[in-house]
Amino acid sequence: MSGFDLTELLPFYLDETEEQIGALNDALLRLEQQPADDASLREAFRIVHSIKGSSTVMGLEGVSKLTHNLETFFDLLRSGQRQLDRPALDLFFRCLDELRDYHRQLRSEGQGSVDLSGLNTAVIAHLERAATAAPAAVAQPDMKDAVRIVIEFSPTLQWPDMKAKLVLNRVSSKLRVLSTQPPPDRLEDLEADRTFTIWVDTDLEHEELRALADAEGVLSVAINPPIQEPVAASPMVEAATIVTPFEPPPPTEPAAAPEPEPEPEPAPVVTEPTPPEPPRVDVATPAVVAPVVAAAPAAPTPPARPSEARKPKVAETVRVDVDRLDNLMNLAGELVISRSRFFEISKDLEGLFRESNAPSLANEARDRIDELTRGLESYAGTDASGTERLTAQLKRLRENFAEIHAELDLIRQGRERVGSMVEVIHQLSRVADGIQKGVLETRMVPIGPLFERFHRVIRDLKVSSGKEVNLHIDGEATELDKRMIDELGDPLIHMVRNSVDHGLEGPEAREAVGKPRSGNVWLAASHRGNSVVITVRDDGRGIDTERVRVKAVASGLISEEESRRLSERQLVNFIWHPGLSTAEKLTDISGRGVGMDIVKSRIENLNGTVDVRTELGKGTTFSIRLPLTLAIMPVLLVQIYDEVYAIPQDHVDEIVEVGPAQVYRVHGMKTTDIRGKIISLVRLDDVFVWGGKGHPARQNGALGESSEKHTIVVVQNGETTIGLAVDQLIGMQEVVLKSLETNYRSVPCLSGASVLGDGRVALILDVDSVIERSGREHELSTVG
Amino acid sequence: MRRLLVVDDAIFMRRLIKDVAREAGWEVVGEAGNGIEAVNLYREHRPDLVTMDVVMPMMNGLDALRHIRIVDPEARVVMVTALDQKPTLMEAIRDGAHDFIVKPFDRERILALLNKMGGTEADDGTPPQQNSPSAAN
Repeated sequence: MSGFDLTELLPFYLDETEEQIGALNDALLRLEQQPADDASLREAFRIVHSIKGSSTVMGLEGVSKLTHNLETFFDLLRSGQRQLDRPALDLFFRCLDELRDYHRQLRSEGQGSVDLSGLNTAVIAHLERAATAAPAAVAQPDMKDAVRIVIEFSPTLQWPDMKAKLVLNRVSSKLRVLSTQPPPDRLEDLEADRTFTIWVDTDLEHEELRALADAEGVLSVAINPPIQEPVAASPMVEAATIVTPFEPPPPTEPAAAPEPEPEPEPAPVVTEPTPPEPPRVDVATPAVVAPVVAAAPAAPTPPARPSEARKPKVAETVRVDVDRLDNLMNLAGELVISRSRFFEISKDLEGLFRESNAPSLANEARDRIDELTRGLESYAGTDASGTERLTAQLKRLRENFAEIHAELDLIRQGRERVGSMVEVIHQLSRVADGIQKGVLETRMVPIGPLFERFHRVIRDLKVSSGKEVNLHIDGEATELDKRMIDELGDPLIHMVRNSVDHGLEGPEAREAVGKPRSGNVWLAASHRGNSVVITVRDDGRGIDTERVRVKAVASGLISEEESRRLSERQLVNFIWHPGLSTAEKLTDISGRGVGMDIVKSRIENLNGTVDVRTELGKGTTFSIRLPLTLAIMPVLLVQIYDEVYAIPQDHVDEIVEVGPAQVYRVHGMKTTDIRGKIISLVRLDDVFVWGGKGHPARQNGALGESSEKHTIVVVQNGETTIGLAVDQLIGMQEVVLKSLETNYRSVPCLSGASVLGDGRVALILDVDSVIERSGREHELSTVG
Repeated sequence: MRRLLVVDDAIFMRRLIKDVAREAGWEVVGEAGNGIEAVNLYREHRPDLVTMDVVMPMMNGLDALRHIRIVDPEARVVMVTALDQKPTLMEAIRDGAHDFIVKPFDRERILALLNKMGGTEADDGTPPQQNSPSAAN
C-alpha cells in the first residue's frame, strides 16, 4: 500500500461511503417493511461488505470492525440462520446513524472521533445470541432441483445487458431465480463476455426452459452443461466467518485494493474510478461473487472468471470541484452577453451596409461623363480655349470619380464580409448556446436522492410522534441545479416535519373526523416552464386561519381592526412571520415554530418563492417555486422612463394595449378589463420611489390621465394577476443574473440586475414582491 | 399458422416486417400506425406476436405495450427500438416485453426472431395464449 497517499483518496472514499450509507438506509427501510426481502438483504450485505473493504484500506479501524461484524450479521440473515427482528433492525439503524455521523465528522474535521466501539460490542452481543440459537434456526431452501441455464449471446448483438435483463425477466416471471452470473447489477459485463448463466429452482422440462431463455440474438441455450472451470471456493467456507466475529479483515483485501495505479498528479479533480472500492471478486470472500449462492450451499458455484471479472470498472463519471463549475458558469454567462452584443453590432452593421443602387448610379454617372468628354472633343476646333478648359475640368472629374468608384467597390466587398461575419456570428451563438446549456446541464442532478432521504425522516417522525404516516414521492427524476438541491434539504425537512407534527392529526383524531387512521404526506417535484415546483402536501387538519389571526393580533403584528379586514389567504401568510406558531404544544419535532420564516428566506435566497394553501380539515400544501438555474433567465425587456427593466418570462402572461377609456377606478385602484377579467394596473411609480420622490423624468400624467394608449404587460405569480404599465417594449432575451446584494445593495421588488448587450444595466423585477406591494397599496387605498 | 400484428408508424418498416413474416410462413393479421390502433387490433385478433415500434404518434409503443399486457397478460410483444431509446426499452422490459430488436436491422434478424417464436410452442398448433404453466412459486 506504500507509494500512494491515502489522504488523496479520502474524498472519494467519503463520497462513495456517503452514497452507500444512503443506499443501506434505503435497504433497511425496505427490510423494515418486508423482513424477508432477499434482494434488500443481499444489497445490505453487499454495501456493508464494500464499506468494510474500503474503510480497511483507509485504515479506519473502528469502521472496519463494525462493518465486519455487521457483515457477519447480514450473512446470517441472508442465509436464513437468523430472522430479522425489531431489536436487530433498531440496532442497524443506530449503526447507520453512527456511521453517518462518523463520516460527516471525518469530512468536516479530517478525523472521525465518534466512538464506534460501544455499538460494535452491541452488535457482537447480538451475534453471539444468534450463534447459540443458530443450529435450530437453519432453514435452507430446497435446492435439489437447482438448474443452471447457460445462455450464449451472439457477438454482434447490441445491448447484451438489456437482452440479459429481458431474459431474466422472462425467466423470473415463471420461475424462481436463485442467482445469476454476472449478477443483475453487473450485466454490463456481458459486453465483454457474452455468456449469461442463470440458476433457477424448477422442475420444468429442459425444452420449456430453453424456450423461455431463447430470445433474439441468443446463439445457444444450454441446460446444466458440464462445468469446465474449477469451482473457486466452496460456499460452506463462508460459515467459518460466522463464529469468529473478531476475525481481522481478510489480509488479501487491502493488498488487492490499490490495483489502480497511483495517480502521479495531485490534482483535486481526478478522473480515476472510485479507487477504494474493494475488489469485486475475491477468493477469500466468495460471497461477493454471487451473494445468493452462499445462501444455498447446494447450488453450484458460478464458474470463476478471474481474467475478465477482475477488470476494474472504467469510470463513466468525472468528479469536478463545484467551484470550477461555478467559474465555467460565469464564463458561459459572459459569453452569452458577448453573443448578444455581437448580435446587436452585426444588426447595426447590416443596416449600415444595406444594399443600395449606388454602384449602378455610379456606372451611369461615369458613362455620362465619358459622353460629355466625347461631345466636347468634337467642339475642340471651334472654341479652343473654352473647350480646352472644360475638357480639363471634365478629365479631373473623371479621375475623381474613378477614385470614388474604387471606394464603392471596397464598400461592396465590405458588405460581403459583413454577410459572412453575420453567418459566423450565428454559428458562434449556436456554440455559445450549446456551451451555456452544457454547463448548465453538468450542474443538474435529479431531486430523487434528496426525496429518498425523507423515507427515513418520516420513519423517525412516525416513531417520535406516534402518528401513522405514509410518504408518497412523485417526480423524483426532476432535475435541479446541484447547489439548489444542497440548499433545499433543510427547508424541505423543516416543512415535512411541520406537516407531520402540526399538520397531521393522530390516528384517533383522524378516525374521529372520518379520515383513514394513517395520514399522508406527498413530496412532489415537476417542471413548469422555466421553473421547478416542489410541493409538500399533507391531508391533515389544515391551518386554522382564525387562530393565526388571534395570534397575529396578540403578538402585535396587526391591530384587531386590520386583522378583520384581511382575507383568509392574507391571514395564512402570517405563518411566515418570525415567531408565529399555532401549534398547541411544542414538540422536539418542529421545535418552537421558529423556522417557517427561515424557510422562506432560504428559498428566496435561491430566487425562489414559497406559497402555502390550506383548507381547514382537508390539509395544507406548501409549494416552492424555483428557477431552473441560478444564473440565466429568459426575460421580457421593457423601458419605463429611460430605464430598462427585465420581467422574468415565467411571470409574463401577455402584453396588451389599453386605451384611456378602458381604465376604470375600483376602490381607488386603477383597473382594466382583460377579456372579462378585472385586473389592477400598476406603474412602477406606484411601487418605487427615486431618492424619496417620484421619478425625475415623470412629466405626463398618471395612468388613465393622458390620452395615449398604454402598453400593459400582464404578469402573474400563480395566484394574482396584475397589469404592469410600461413605456416601451424592447424584446425577449436571456440575461445573466447578477446579484444586486453583492454588487450594490438589496432593493425590495428587484431580484437582481443584468448587463445587456449594449452595456446598459437592466434591473430585474421581482414580480412577486411587486404584486404583493401593489396589493398592499390596494389595501391602504381601500382602508383610507 | 402463427399470426402477427405489425405496429410501426413508418409504412416502409411495416412493409419490411410484413414481407419477411409472410416469407417465414406467418399470417399478418393486421398493421397499425400508432399505439391506439395497435391496442384495438390486438383486442380484435389476439395475434401470437406483435412487433411494436417505440416512437409513434397518438400513443407510443411503451404505452401500447402496457395496454396490450393489460388486455392479455400473456401477450408477446417485441419492441422495435432505436439506439437512443435504451431508457424506454428498460421500462418496456420491466413491463413485460417479450423481446426486442434494435434498429437498424436486416431481414435475417427478423427472420431469426420470427423463427424463434415459431419454433418454440407453436409446432403443436396450440392456441396462442398457452404458455408454460407457472412452476415453482
